Amino acid sequence: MAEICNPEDIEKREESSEFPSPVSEPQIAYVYDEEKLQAVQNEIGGVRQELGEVRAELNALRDLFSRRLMNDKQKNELIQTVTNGANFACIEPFLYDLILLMDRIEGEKEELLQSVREEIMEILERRGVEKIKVTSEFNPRLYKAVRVTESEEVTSMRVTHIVRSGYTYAGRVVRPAEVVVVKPKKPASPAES
Amino acid sequence: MERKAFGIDLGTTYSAIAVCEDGETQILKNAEGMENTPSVIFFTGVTSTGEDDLLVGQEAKNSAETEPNNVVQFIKRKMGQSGPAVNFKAPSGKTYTPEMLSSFILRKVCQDAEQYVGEGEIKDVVITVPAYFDDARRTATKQAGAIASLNVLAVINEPTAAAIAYGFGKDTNARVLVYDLGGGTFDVTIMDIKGGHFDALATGGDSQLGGFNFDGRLSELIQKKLTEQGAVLDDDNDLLFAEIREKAERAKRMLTDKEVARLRLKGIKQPVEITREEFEEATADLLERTRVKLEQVMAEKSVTWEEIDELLVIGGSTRMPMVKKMLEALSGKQVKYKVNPDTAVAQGAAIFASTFEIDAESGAPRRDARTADTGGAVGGMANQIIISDVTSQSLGVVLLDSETNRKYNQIIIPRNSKIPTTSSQAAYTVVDNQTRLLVQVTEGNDSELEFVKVIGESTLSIPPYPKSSPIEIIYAYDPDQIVTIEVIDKVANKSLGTFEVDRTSNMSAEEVARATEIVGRTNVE
Repeated sequence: MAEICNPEDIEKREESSEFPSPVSEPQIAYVYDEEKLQAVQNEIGGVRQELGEVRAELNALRDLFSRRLMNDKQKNELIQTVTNGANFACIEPFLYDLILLMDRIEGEKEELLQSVREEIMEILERRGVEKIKVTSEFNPRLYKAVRVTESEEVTSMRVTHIVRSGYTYAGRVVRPAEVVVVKPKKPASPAES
Repeated sequence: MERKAFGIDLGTTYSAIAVCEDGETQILKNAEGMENTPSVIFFTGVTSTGEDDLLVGQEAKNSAETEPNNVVQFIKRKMGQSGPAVNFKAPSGKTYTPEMLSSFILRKVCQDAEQYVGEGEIKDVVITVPAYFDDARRTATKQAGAIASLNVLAVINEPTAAAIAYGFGKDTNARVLVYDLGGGTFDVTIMDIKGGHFDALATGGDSQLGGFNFDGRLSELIQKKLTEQGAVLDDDNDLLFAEIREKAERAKRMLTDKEVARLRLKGIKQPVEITREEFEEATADLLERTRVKLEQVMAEKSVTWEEIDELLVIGGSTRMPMVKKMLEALSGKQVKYKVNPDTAVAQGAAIFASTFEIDAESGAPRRDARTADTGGAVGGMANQIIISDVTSQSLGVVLLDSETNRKYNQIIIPRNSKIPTTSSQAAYTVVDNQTRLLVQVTEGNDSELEFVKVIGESTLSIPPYPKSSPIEIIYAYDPDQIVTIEVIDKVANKSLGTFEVDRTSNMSAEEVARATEIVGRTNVE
């Protein structure tokens, strides 16, 4: 015997396998309801499908949006990197020439030369060039050892003095500071002694 | 998931890495923000676990003076050689082969580049080598990649990579002469480019000639001028000579655009003036060496200047106007700088790398781009790169001259033969009832044995025949540059055996595995 049910119940029961076949014993009195049911079911199916599509579209949009955001971020970073790189590549030869000029007048006692050197350094600093501060600890990222001596008085490698100053521009090394280092004297090998 | 492949220019003095995505190539900068990393290794000390601690690149270069004995440079020149003379003994007592040392450079460039592409992302690479590298040196380069835990998809020639950077995706149909004057080496290659086919015709080079030689001459010229001006150059004044070398390098660049370079040195009032003409005069013989070499390569394949469509110049030293002037005078063609001379090799390698489809699990290339059309697309262009190479060295066999009773080298596969190739040589037994044949494989162009290298040998048995019984020696050179030798008994018409040239100078598979483990434990910064 066919039952008349709430369409939602039918839907629920449709999901379970217990739902009897609606056409097992067709009776004319229920034909209209069966059709109505079918129509409602179809409508629900359609709404579901549409909802699914909207969801998928929304997910795709969300995905696209986050990818775009990520792309924009990466692009901005890349543009920044390329711009910085291009700036550095353009300006580096010019800076280096100025640094070589600074080398020539560094340590000169004449008042005018000292003042010129200070002024050039101020100009460079205004453009983002910084003189590398040298500490006694040797830092191969910022310093270059140009001469080495040995001493029994030190236990680790130390910078003793600066031969030529080093400079950075926008965080990049234009020229490392050229330094003299002293390192602990190695004990003589048995063969040598 | 798609695996990206990268191109590495493993240079004698500098190395670089690039990637090609959507048809655009990009050089990946190192930790210092530079496109090129000095190929210098500095062993700083030993860790508490007994492993070596090392620096690679600019920091290694900056530290070099502190422990000159712990510095390794120009390791590329030792690739493919073995033995104590080429190995490096580190402070830990461990011995490193040239392959292991090169692997540190590869690790450093990859490690630094991963800051742009993501940690652990660089696995699959194409590495470039000079065209004159023989198979032992190519194998060594491939092994260096493996030791660095990289999946080396291919080892290709530097001029081929440059030609790819120039011609790929442009529907190029041209015969190109690639003139490569780098910091330490000179290479010349003639190549036909047709669509995605890169077909090398001939190659040659001088491994001892490069930009350094030109810098050296300019330094000498500056010293000469200073002396003429009355300056006293104290041999012990290291700083002055360092300044001269540095300013010579800058003067060379200046003379690219200007006719005169004026240099000022600390403590010397009068500037030194160097004209472009003087510089060119002082280095004329160096340039002449490149001319001789390139005309020799052209003559070997009977290629005339009329047949050359394009002159492709790579290597920083090709910026010198004298190079352009010479090439234009010789060829009657204009030299156009169509690729970046400093980065074209890495870029071309990256383009080639991007044509491989790599199995995500195993890392195995599904198709070998060297020999097959790969399908797909790179930047909207048909994705086809087919490389055809030539042999960089002649291969021969040691024979006995029956008249003079002297041993000599008989070339079987001449230099610049297309790969793959097969060639044979007829020979005869020396004495009656000879039962053994010593087959010695040589590498080199000379007939005199003292100027060639025996790279492999095998003793084969032969049935006892009368003296002067015929045999045939067949050499086969496959696309992976492996040489197989077969000897045929022409009396019975049957094979006496085959053998491969087992390069004793290359590391064995076990040695590579062991080296990979050691290098993997070593901290590279």
